[in-house]
Amino acid sequence: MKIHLTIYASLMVAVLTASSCSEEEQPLSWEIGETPTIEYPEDYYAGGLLGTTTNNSSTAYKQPTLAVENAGMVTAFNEGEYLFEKDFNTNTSGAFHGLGPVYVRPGCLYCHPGYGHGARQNTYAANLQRNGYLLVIYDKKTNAYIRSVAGMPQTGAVKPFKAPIDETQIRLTWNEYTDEWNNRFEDGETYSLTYPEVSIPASAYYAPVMVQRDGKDMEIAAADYDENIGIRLESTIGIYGTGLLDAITDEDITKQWEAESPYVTLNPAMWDQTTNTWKSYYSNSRQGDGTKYVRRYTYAMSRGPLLDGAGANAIWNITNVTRSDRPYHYLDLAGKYYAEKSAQDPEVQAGFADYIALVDPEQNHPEWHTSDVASNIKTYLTSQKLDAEMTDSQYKNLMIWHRGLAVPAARNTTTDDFKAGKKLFTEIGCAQCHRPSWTTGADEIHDPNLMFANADMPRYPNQKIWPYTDMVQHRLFMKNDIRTGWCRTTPLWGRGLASKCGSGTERMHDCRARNVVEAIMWHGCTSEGGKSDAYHTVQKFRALDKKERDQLVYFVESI
Amino acid sequence: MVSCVRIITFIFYILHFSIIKPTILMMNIKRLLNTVLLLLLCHSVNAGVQGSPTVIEKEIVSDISRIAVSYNDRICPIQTVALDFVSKLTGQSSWQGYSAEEIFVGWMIYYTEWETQELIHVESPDVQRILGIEGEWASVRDFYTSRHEYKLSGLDADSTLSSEQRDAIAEVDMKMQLVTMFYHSEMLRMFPLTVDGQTDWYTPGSTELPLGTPNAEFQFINHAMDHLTQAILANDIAGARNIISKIRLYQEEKAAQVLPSHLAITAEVLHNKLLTSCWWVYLCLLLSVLFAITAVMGKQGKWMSLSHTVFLAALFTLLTLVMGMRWWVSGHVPLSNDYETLLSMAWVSSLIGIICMRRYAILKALAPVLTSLCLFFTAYTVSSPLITALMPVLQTPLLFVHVVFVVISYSLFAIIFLISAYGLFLRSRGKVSESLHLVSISYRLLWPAVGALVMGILIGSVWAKIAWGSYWMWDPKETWALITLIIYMIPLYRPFRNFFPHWHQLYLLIAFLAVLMTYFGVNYFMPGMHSYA
Repeated sequence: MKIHLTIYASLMVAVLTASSCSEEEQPLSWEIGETPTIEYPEDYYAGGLLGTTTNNSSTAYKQPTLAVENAGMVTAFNEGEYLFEKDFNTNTSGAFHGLGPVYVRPGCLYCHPGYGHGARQNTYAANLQRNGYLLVIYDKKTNAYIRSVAGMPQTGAVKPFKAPIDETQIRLTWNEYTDEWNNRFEDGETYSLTYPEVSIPASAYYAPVMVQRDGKDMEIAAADYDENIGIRLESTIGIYGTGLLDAITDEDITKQWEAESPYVTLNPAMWDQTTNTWKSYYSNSRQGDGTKYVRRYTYAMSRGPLLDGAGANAIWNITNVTRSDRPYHYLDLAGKYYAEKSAQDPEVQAGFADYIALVDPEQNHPEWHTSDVASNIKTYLTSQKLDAEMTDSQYKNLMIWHRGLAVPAARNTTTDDFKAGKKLFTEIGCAQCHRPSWTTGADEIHDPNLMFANADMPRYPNQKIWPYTDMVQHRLFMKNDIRTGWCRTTPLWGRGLASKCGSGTERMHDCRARNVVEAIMWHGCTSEGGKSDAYHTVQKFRALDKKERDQLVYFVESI
Repeated sequence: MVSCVRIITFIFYILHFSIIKPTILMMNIKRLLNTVLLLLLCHSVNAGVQGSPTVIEKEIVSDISRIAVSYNDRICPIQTVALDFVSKLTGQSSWQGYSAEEIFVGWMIYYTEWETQELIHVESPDVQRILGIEGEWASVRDFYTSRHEYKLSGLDADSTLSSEQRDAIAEVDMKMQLVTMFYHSEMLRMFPLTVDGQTDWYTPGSTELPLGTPNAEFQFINHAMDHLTQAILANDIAGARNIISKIRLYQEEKAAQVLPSHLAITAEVLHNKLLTSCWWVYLCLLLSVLFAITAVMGKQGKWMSLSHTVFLAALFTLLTLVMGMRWWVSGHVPLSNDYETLLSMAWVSSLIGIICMRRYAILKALAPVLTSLCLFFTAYTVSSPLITALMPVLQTPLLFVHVVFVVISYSLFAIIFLISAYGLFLRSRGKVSESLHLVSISYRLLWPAVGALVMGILIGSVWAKIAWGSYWMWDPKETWALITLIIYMIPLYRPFRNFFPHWHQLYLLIAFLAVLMTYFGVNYFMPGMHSYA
């Protein structure tokens, strides 16, 4: 019996040992070392070799690029990420302090869930998770922003101050829209189109509603409010890949505008089609030296290089956390109406002493502590010499993180459906605006703020990237269209992972499209003041059979 | 006294047959039939697969499935996680010819393909209707509308639905939560890292790495899976295996003290493969029944009898090795849940057969049948066959002692049940003397069975005092163990044997229902503190 047991045990150990032995040569070290290259379709590397992550899990939008690691900026990346992920608070010292006196959101993730697109909402609130909407309040006569609130209006405030807009009075409704084809394809498949309608009554504004006409500010009375004031929504988009877009040269973007100029009307506010030159550049004379840069970021193409782009600005103006280069509050566009109203508000006056005692306990700013409380309030709010609440090193870490976010690799690139969808994408004309690829330049760091240089940031020289945008503004003439009607072609890369990553799955600037088909069909409007620049492409899309439409959608979801 | 015993016996008889037995049968018959069908087929009866997912090279799948991860409070190979994942989604350990590892690894890389595969089992017609599917199988895509809205959102709390409907929705929703966990890489915590004395296991591309993570480790944790993915996509087998080896090297450097050895990983992989496949269980059941029939009919020749002995010995050896591997890999005695106790019943039954087969030939015939039946019924247990971490309340030497005695007693009661059934069969054929001989054997086994149960209850009481603060709390499991003890003590009373010579086999046959109620019934109908066993 004992011999049998011994034989059994020995056999079992032998089997197990043999099973566990590997014939492969073992590596000497676990470190990755040189990045291995593989033979694979180039459009798989959506962010180029330096800017792509193959991670397709829920953290796909949050990965650092290889450039970050090669530059030894991992720690800075992580520290910058903390600033993005955490809420700011109303403390006057300590971590993440400095929120207020008024703010759009307490932190970044509210607007950028999963680091991606904002999500469609049925209500508006500053502390609503996944609400990436900004309120766009404008003068219907001039299309310009109203002057008495910020360009990105705040609805949050720190006591004793009051919110510039009372968000409890904001109403958001969704309406059905029927296009010229009755929302139906020839084969019978139907789709639904909806668009948002936002109303904010005159009573919700803290300061009088002011617009600028003929160079002068004028108040809009409550009785005239509806006739004169329009409101739209603009949602955030993802942050990944913005560093790669920043690496495209100004010259290449200019060439793209030049190339499209003969074929389509371009935004006359941006581009002079008679001379084929820029009408408007981005420049920063306040923090910088006024150098002109080609506009490249936001729907309105209101920003130039990334280091003074939407994100660089937002970490200050969304939370009103000051920096050494922005030692002032983000208030109304005119810079005075909110301060004047607050200064005369008895409730603000009553609470200001306690507030300023916390902000400036040692009275380093005697101009805030005079006997004239109204003056104190106004002086504080409009001060251009506020103490920095975010240090320069913190800001640098955030920008390293911002520039260092990788783009998820395209999925399914070797499948037949992807290839068929890609072919259709070009054939029917989507690629004319959603230009598939660019090659970045030497990626010399341009900082209108004059804070950072090449050595400070991860860089992406000579990378072939696949953002699917031409970086040009076009018009779709949608119902309740974006303000001015002009909108930069939004990059399509990475959107297929939105659901997995917890970001908004909706598309278009105000999240009106709940899937790709709805987004495509919103490109086909003709009865809202003009014919969409993409109308003919939509007609061709409609001419495809069901399988081809599905392949195109599959492709768009895979890039 | 005799009248009292008769009355008590009669009452138990009525209770078992009129209430408990029909209730158990009615509530479990559908599950019984479904499980039998699934077990027989060993694969799904899925219809309408939307194209075949990309197949990854077997060597890569095998290597990845051996990577250690931190999962459910223990370090185990990915294969264990894959089996848990797939069995919870599909109800079985493989699907449509794909092993659990192939599904898991394939889904990691080609997730869009796997989202269209109908491998989520949906039993409830109400949930099927909500999802808009025909049949009992759904894909991940079926759970969302074309506008990315989750179809089950909020329904598990919808008061307009019945509680059964809400329970069914919640059950299926749990499966989707598992997919969400998978997408959050919660099942792939493969990178140990110690910072400031604290060791945690991190997922690929983790955004939770602590400040102070060294650059090389950060880069590896973030990009090792990237490189592995690329290698797989390019079908670079050598490259993929190299990365996997690096992951192992990394683990060995960072977590040598807790990392299972290559041998332990292999043992767990083999153990999982054995216990999640069903063909050999059916083979054992078939062979054991054939041997039993030929043995009792006296149709076994010399070589068949030898084969029968070898079969019993092989069964015992196999179970010993399985139990041994499980004990070694898990680090605790394999008696912690209903699956393990049933497995050990199978082992004890085979041991009893080996010990007693020379003296009682009937045991040589019946022990393998009982062993095979125990293995067959492991599919009915609440617990999975996969190795799990031991619950804190079970981390005591009393676990071994208490459960061993109880398992021995249950095994003996089960053998007595089979002997009694056979004895009644012989009696019905007019073979009274042979039947009486079996009665004698039953009684000889009854004494150690009752004795073991008494020891089990006593030690259990001591353990209850330590763990729960009281020797006896009339917990359903405790109460039914006592009932079982009383039922089986009655036949030990000599006057019972003398006055009911023709009833004792029937009595011992029916009495086994008390064991079933104590072992299984209490877990399903009267959960209490003892519900894990």
